[in-house]
Amino acid sequence: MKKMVSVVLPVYNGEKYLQEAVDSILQQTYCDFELIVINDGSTDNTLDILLEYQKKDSRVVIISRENRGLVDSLNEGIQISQGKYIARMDADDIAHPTRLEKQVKYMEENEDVYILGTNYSLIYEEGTSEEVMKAAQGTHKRSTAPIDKNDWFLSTNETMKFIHPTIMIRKSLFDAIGLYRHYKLEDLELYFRTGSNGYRIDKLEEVLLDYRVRASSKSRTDARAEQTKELMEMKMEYLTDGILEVESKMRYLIWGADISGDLGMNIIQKYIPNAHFMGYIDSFKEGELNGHSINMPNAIKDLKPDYIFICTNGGAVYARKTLKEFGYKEVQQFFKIS
Amino acid sequence: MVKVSVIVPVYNVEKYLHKCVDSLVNQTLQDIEIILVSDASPDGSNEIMAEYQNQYPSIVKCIYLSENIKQGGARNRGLEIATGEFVTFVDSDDYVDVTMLEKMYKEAIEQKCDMVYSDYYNNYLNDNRLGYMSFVSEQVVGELNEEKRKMLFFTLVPPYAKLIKTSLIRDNKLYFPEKMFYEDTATTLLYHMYANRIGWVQEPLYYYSIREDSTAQKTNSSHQLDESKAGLILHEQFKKRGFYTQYQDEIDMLFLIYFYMHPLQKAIEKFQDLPLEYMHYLKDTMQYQYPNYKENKYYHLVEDAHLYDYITINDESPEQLKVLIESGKYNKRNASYEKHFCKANEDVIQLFQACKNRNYRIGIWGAGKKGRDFLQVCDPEQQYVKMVFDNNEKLNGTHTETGHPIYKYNENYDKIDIIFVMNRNYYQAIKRDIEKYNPNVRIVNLELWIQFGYDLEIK
Repeated sequence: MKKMVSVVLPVYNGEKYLQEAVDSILQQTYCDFELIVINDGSTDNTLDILLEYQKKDSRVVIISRENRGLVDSLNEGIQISQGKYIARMDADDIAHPTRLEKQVKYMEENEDVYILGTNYSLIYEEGTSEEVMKAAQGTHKRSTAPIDKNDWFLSTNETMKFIHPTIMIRKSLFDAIGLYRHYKLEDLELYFRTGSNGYRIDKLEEVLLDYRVRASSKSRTDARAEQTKELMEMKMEYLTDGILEVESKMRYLIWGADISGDLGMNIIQKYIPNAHFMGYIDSFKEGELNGHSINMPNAIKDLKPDYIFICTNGGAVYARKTLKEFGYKEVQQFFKIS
Repeated sequence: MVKVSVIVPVYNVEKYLHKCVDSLVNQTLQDIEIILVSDASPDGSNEIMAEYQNQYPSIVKCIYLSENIKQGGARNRGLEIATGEFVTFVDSDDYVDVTMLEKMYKEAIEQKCDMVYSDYYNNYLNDNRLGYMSFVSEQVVGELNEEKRKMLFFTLVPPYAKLIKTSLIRDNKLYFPEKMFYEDTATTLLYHMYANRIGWVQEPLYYYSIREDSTAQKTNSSHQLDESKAGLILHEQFKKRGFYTQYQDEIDMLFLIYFYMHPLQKAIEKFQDLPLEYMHYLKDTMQYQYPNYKENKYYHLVEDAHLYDYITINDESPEQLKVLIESGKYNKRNASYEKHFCKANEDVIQLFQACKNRNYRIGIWGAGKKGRDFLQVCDPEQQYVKMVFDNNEKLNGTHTETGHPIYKYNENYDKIDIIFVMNRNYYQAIKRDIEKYNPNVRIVNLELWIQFGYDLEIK
C-alpha cells in the first residue's frame, strides 16, 4: 500500500536537535507516512542517529551522500517519495502531534489546494542575541497576519506567511510545474511559481510547529542582498512576460528608499530600460537617495505614476493597503518585487 | 548529470559487498555515480555502504530503505534519484571488470546506441571456473527492426551486463515490480521495444556469481512461484503498451515459457513437496487463457515443451503424478532432439546437401545429448558431418552412436570448412575459440537458424 504522506527532512550536521525533530514526526497522531531523511554529507553523528532510528521504525528512509545543498536534497527526497503529499520538515524544529493529521484532512477536503502552510511559534537556541530574536519576532508577527483567501497568487507575494518547515505539498504539483530550483530563496520561488501558474496556496491559521531560531541566523546584510536580488530578478521576469512591455516608456516610482530600493532600481532598469524612474516613496525617510528624490506617500496623487514597484518588506503591508486605497490595481499597476 | 549511474540493490551481502563495490569505485570511466540501495538489509551491509560513501563521497550515494521491497523496489528507488545519462544494474554479490563502464559508454556514444550489451562470465565459484556467455549475437544488434525485435524476445532476462539510456526507462515508465522475485522477467524484455539501436561490446566484463548449493537440496519456498506472476505481468505490459498485434506469437511464447513452463519445471525439480494446487492453477489458467498454445509458431522449438504435455493430456491423481516424476520420465535431461528440432529436419538436410555440393567439410559443435540426437535424426548414415567437436577431455577420440568421431577442436582446425553450433547460448564463446585457430572457417548458429530461419548465404 502506498503511503499517504512523505515527510522530507534534509539535514546537514544536525546532531544537536535531530532527535527532537525526528521524534516529533514519528510520534504524530497520523501514522500513514514515510519519513525520508536526506543526509547532506554531514560530518557529525547525523548518519549514526538516523541508522539507529531506522532499526526501530520502519517508516524511516535515508538517503546519504556528499554535500550538495538544500535544493538537491529536497528534490531527491521528492523524487524518491511514494506519498500523495509531501510534508517538509527541518532538522531543528518540532512538529506538534496533530500537524500531519490536520494538514492531510484539509488537503483531502480541498482538492484544489496544492500548498498548505500553518502558523508556528518560536523557540530559541541558547545564546541567541537580542538582535536576532527581534528580527525573528518581527518576521513572525508579519507571518501571522491572515492570508487573502481570494487571491492566493498575491498571498505568495507576501513575506514569510508560508514558512518552509510547515508546508504540505500535493505531490502532483511538481509534475505540473517542476521541482525546486536553485535559488537562494528556493521556497519563495516555488510559492511564486505555484501562484503565478494558478495553483492554490492556503494556510491553516493554527500553530502546528515550533520553529527554532538559531543563534547564528543568516541575517548578514550581504547575504540578504544576494537573496533579494535573485528574487527581484525572478519577479521582473514574471512581470515582463506579459504584464509589462519591455519597450515601455512608462513612469514609475519605487516604494522603499533603502538598500532594497536602490537594488530594485538597478534591476528594474535592466528589464525595462526605456521606462522613466521618477523617484522613491517612503513613509519615514526624507530627502534624496543617490540623487533621486524621496517622497511621502501622499505625493503619489500628484505624481500620477504609471506603475509602482514595492521594494520594502517591512513597509509592504502598508504600501499595498495605501495603493489600493488610491485606486491602483495590484499586478497591473503595482507589485511587490522584493 | 554524470555519464553512468550504477545501481546496486544490497541485501545480506556483507561477505561479498567489498569485492563488488571495489570493482565499481575503481572504474576507469570518470564521471559516474554509484547508488547503493540497502533493501532493509539486516546484516552488516549498511555499515559497509556507509564506509564507501565516506571514502568516495563524490561518487557513492546510499539509500537505506527500512521496509524490504526486494530487488525490483530497491532498483526503482535508485532509478528515481539517478542523474546519469545511462544506467546499469549490478547485483551486490557479483563484480565487474574495471574497464566495463568505459567500454560500454564508448560504444554507446560512438555507435549512437540507446542500449549496449556486454558479454559476461558465469562465475562458478565452487569449481573455480569461468563460463563465457553472451546475451546477444550479431543478428540482433545494431539498428533495430521488426525482425530483430522478434529475435530479441528470446534473450535471457537478467538485468546486468547492459547499459541503458536512463530516459528510455523513465520516459516509458519501465520500472520493476516491487516486493516480488523474478522482477527482471517482468521488465527487461520490454527495453528492446523502445530501443532504436543496440550496441555490443564483445568482451566478458561482468562476473555473475554462481554458488552451486547442493542440487540434492530441495525447497518448499514459494518465491519460486513468483516467476509465473512475472510472466503474467509481462504479458499484460506488452498488451497495455500496444505491442500485441504486431508481436502476438512472440508475446504468447514468453507467456508460455515464463508463466507456465519454467514454474512447472521448477516445481518438479526443486520442490520437496509438489505444490499440486499451484500446478493445477497453472494448467487451468493456460487452458482458459491460451488453450491452443501448441499452435504457437515457436512451440516446437522451445526447450522441453513436450515435458508438460502430461498436464493437458492426462488427469493423473497427485500420487500417480509423484510416482511418474520420480521415475525420471519428466526429467529435463532426458529431453530428446526429436521433439526439439523435429520441424526443421528437412531444412537441415537440405542445408547439409548445399554444403556438400560446395565441397564443404562439415563439423558440428557439441557432443552432448542434443548433438548426438541431432546426428541420429539428420545424419544417421554419416553422409554429411565429418566430425563432432567438444572440449570435454573424456570424449576426445571416442565416437557417437552414429559413428561420428569426436575431437577437441584445437587438434583438427584445418580439417573443417563449416561448423554448426547446437546451442545458441554458447555460440559467441565457441566462435571466439574457433576463430583463434582458424579465422576462415564458417560458423553457423544452428539453433537460431532453425528458430528464425534467417537467410544463410552459402557462398
